[in-house]
Amino acid sequence: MKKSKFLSLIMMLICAIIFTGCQKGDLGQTFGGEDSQKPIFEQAAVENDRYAEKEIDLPEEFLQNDEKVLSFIQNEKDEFELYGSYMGNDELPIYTKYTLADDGTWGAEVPEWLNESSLGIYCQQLRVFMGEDWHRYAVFETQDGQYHIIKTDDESAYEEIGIDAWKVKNGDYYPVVSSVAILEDELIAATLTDGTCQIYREGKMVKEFSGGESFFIAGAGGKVARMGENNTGVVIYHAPKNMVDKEIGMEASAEEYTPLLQLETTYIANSYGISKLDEGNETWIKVMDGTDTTLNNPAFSPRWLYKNTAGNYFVFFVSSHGSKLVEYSQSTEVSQSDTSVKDAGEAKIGSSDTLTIYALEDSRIIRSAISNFKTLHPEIKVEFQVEGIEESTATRSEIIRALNAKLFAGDGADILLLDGLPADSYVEKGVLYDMGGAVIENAELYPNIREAYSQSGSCYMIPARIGVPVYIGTKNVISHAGSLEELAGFASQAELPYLKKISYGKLIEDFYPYYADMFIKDGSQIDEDGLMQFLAQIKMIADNVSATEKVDKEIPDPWNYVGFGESSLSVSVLKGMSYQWAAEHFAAARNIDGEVVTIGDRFVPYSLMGINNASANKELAMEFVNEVLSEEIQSVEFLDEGFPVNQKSAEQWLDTDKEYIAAAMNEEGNYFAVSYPNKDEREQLFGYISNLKTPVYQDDILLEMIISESDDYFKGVESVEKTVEKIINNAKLYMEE
Amino acid sequence: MRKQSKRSSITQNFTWRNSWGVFFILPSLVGVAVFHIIPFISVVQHSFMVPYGKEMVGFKNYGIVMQNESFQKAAVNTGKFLIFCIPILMLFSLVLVFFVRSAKRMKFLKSAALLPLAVPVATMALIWRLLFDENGVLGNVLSGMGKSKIDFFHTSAAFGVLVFTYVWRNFGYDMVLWGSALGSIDEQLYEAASIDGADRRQKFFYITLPNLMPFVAVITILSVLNAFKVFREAYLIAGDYPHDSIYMLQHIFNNWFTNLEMGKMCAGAVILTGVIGTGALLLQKMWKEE
Repeated sequence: MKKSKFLSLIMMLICAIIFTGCQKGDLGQTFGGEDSQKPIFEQAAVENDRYAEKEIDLPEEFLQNDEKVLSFIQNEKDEFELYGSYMGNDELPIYTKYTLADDGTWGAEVPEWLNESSLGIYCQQLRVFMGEDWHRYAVFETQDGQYHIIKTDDESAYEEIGIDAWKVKNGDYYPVVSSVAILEDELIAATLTDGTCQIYREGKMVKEFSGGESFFIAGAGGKVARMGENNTGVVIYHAPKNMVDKEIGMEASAEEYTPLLQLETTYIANSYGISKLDEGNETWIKVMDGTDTTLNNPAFSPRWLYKNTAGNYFVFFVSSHGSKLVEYSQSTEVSQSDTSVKDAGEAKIGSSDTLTIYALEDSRIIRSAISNFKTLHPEIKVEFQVEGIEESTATRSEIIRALNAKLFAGDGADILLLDGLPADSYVEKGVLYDMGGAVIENAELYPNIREAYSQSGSCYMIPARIGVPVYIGTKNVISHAGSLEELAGFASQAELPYLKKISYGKLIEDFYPYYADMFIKDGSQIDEDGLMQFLAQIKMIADNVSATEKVDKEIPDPWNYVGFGESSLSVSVLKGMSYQWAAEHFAAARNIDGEVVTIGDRFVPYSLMGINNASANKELAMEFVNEVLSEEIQSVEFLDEGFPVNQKSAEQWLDTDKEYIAAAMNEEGNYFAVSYPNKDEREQLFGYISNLKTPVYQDDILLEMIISESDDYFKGVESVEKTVEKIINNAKLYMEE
Repeated sequence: MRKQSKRSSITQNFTWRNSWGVFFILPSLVGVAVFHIIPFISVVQHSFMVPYGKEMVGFKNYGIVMQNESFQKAAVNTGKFLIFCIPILMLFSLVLVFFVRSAKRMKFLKSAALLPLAVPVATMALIWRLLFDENGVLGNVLSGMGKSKIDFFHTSAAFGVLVFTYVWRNFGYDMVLWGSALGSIDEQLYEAASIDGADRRQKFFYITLPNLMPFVAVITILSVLNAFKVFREAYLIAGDYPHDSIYMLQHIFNNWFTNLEMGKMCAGAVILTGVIGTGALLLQKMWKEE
């Protein structure tokens, strides 16, 4: 009897083991599940998302004059006014105003108060605001760098409102005003570029509080709404109480949202739609889903948001290739949005009217292409499934295994963005469809990039964008940067350290992607001699820069130190033309009469696209890939998503000149001017791009093994032979797998 | 003739009344079939196919797996771990159960021993990191004593950490098993032995141990099954590529899965099942002979 009880217990335990084995364990629960990227406001109630999007044509004259957008405001008649400027014949700016009538036509005028000679001669950065008193205000910068605010009652004469705080220099500079909101009782709120928000009454500052992104601010009914310090929520200032409420969180990127404050309610527009926050509430309510609209097209940034008395929303968008005004009106005929960023756990394949795209990370160029594709094929539903690997609780390999399970079952998305995925393994196993001729014969693409992904007439993947790895340094060092050996040899004699303080690990990480072929043979063998040479040469550079095992914080923008003459070389990847990338790199080189050169013929692929061989929508998927590679999509710049692979788009980038001046500053207060790369620099850069042939070597597991085993060698307590032996032993299992 | 009588005996014993038992085991049977047996048949099928497709490749995958040095290393490590850990765990828990049985607060101690099982693996991995990391508590203690720190996770010490983890986590579970087994021994045997003048040692060797033997095989199998679960701890502590002393079969399966090496993975799984199945059958046979 006792024995049978024991056996019963054993059976129960066996069952428990079996079923715990069946369950998702601690690891399984984290597999790209519901906690993967979630659209923001998902948990907030959706009040009504049945809105129709209608683009309103901008004034013809405005387009013909190629005017610069200054402001877009709503007046007391519920009309909208667009302010622009263009350069007149006498090289003075002409300010224009276009008023949108109810019938959709624009009335043009040249506002007298803005074109006053005393104002027009020297004002810069002019913007117009509508006050709560329904008077128009303009903020501008004079040539001495001071900001001013003027007010007009009749749009002919104006008076200046003196703001004391704007007259006081902080060091060499006046405060730089980003945006302004004018409340009742002549209460003015302004955000400054340093992130602070100041409230003035009769020109005197009555309150100052810090915050995040400074461009956007909205005011109404004695309240001011702006981004909180970490750009993760909105803070509201109450004038009567002269106090700031606590931040109300929202997971919106500061660069992609614009607020509107209407008495009791704060609205914001961002890539997820339009949401509102009623006074006293702490939950945002989505009033309009933006996933199927221009709001979700990263090529366009919402700059101004308004709501008219009929309850329709008006959003004015700006982009690198033009502006757009869109009206969102309530409609009972509009279906739910068809294009959506979905939880990656919902990957489905097959139905011909649905195209699915899978990625570990978001890609703005893909989102932009989806938006265009949707316009071309309104009948097609497009799902962009983004894992959001940085935010996910699962590891990268866990997410990949979850994806592999789907692929193995003949499931999974139609298009895979292969960044971070085992792309070579997918090609080898036949997971990817041969895009062949469609890509290889695409004459618009750079031939060198096409060839980099072509194998005997087959092509299984193609990047949407590329990054350009470069050295920035003095001419002397750059002349010795032909190979790692040459660079290391020169380092042992150089007086100026190559780089600022850096850890051994970061140093290896910097050079590994470009020189791994010194020791990786046939993709699965480590050459002992090659690895010894690589480490020995890195050590020569490590000695030159006095590298250490650990540094408190790796320097974020090491190329700037080259610009300041504090180091003679920096390794970097150019990811775009904007301030932090090409502009700053070329400016740094310009400042020391140095050079920016590519590292061999390497490039970094971004948004690497492949089509699932099991897809039932291969033709549609191919069409989408071509859309991404099209001139229209490739012409748009997305901050840090790399350079175009389309030659025609590259020509547009090459021809585009932007006027902006910024400065790179170091801790000592030294600075050098940063401007958009000039024509010669742009030609140099795109000349480089047309010669890049080899994607960088990306094997993070092997890199991690090399870094973890080589500290002792760099510290001088172990021989290079011993270190290499350890690395090879450690990596043997991995390479053998 | 003998077979016939057996069949007729079964037929005679079957009644609709006792057929209800079939319905009770049916849900489990369906679960096991759907989640284990059918997938395993698919695994066997795929072990003879290309990694991603329907093309048959015969025993090619088996050949690749058997020659794969990583698989060999993982198999050796897993075997070493089993050979090392199972006896330690079984002996340790058996000794402890004797102490606990005679202790005053037996129930409390039994419950306490089961606590490690209730600790989530992720929490445990975090604690282990705090304890065993090179700059963790133990590292600092060693440093304070003037000795050099030990990187427990990236040296051969990792094997010791894993053994300790396994024993710590499972000793309570094995204690329950041993406790149940001990409880099934008839007390009258001990009383009779006492009357005959047997001391504690003799009672243990002549009564307890022989009566426990039928349960050894079952406890061993359960301990082996639990030993395979130790991968979760190894994975959370040291990731996909731990120190090669704790590189287990599950690591290689996981990594193969990441690279979509389905052919290798299925062949490896079939080989592993064959080895474990054979081992289990041998143990069962030994048990029957006992």
